[in-house]
Amino acid sequence: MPRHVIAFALLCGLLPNLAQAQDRGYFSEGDKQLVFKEEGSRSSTQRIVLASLFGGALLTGVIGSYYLLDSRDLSDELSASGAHTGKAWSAELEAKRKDALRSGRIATVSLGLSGTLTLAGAIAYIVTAPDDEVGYQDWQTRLMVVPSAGGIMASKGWSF
Amino acid sequence: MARLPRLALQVAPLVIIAACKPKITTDTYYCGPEELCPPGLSCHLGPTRSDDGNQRASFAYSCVTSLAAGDFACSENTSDREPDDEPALGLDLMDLGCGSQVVQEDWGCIDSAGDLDHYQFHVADVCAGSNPRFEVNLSYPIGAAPVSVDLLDGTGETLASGEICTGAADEGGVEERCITMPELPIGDYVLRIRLDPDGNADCDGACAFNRYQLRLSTPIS
Repeated sequence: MPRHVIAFALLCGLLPNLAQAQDRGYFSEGDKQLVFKEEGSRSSTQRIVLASLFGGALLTGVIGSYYLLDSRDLSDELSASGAHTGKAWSAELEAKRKDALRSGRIATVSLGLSGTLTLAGAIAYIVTAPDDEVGYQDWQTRLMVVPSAGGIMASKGWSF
Repeated sequence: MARLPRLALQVAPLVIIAACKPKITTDTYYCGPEELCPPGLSCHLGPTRSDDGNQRASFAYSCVTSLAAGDFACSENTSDREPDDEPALGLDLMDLGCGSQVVQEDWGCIDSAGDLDHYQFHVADVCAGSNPRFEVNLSYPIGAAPVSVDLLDGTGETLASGEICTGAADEGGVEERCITMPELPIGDYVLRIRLDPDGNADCDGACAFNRYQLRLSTPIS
């Protein structure tokens, strides 16, 4: 007698879950899918290209910065406005001026190239972004209620 | 918005170029040899002058804008006195006493390769002292042709010629030539100033002229 009472109580306890599960559609055939998501990866060629673009951008950026500073220092040495320097313009100063302009040109080209490579790298990074691989697996839920000696046995099972 | 990155790419190099270019304004450097000046500027060979009443005077032999650059002329702001191409016609500096110094305040001037300036002087005394000597210092801007100085005796024979003695650290656009001799014997002497006959820094003849300043001294120690 007590076991019947316990079995009845268990069944009563499962009924709300069962109703809730039916509301969610857990037990309908093929009503739920397992989704497997796997992040994609770039090919080695793509990686090499990206590394080359960003590496080249870094390298030309460093070179450009070096020459930019060199040009700035030389220009600062020569630049004069307002007060007279008290110096005569000489072949050495003219050579220094040309060095400043040369360094400036190298800096301009290098930094321009660095910017271009960075831009190209960014575009390539976006264009070659791999798609994620998504897999689906149906799964089913079953509720089993089996009479047993002295009561019932209830269980919930999934298959996929 | 799409234009912004493109604009940045176009402007960035211009900023870099502007940041790397020496900025040299007018009247900040003296002319180098053979009227050498930074690009865009010209050597002002005229006398020190003011472009207009509100502007300060430009330095002579200074690098200025083409409009402000004046042409060379011996008649302006110099003590040039012609004719003095012969020793006997040279300006007489009178007796040169012991321990004295004669300084030419105004610029002397050589206006062409053939122009000669002479200065006569007389040594009347034998000087006492630990190290009596005779010194000549000739200074001239390096912007035009180099100038030389020679010491001649009364017969016109060359006793000494000035050697370049500009200080190694002197960047002021002026070159100096010096003659240093032991005490000169009593007698008449002449200093001859002319364009350096051995020099070729005359802009291929286009700047075969210059101004100069002369200083004579007879230190005794």
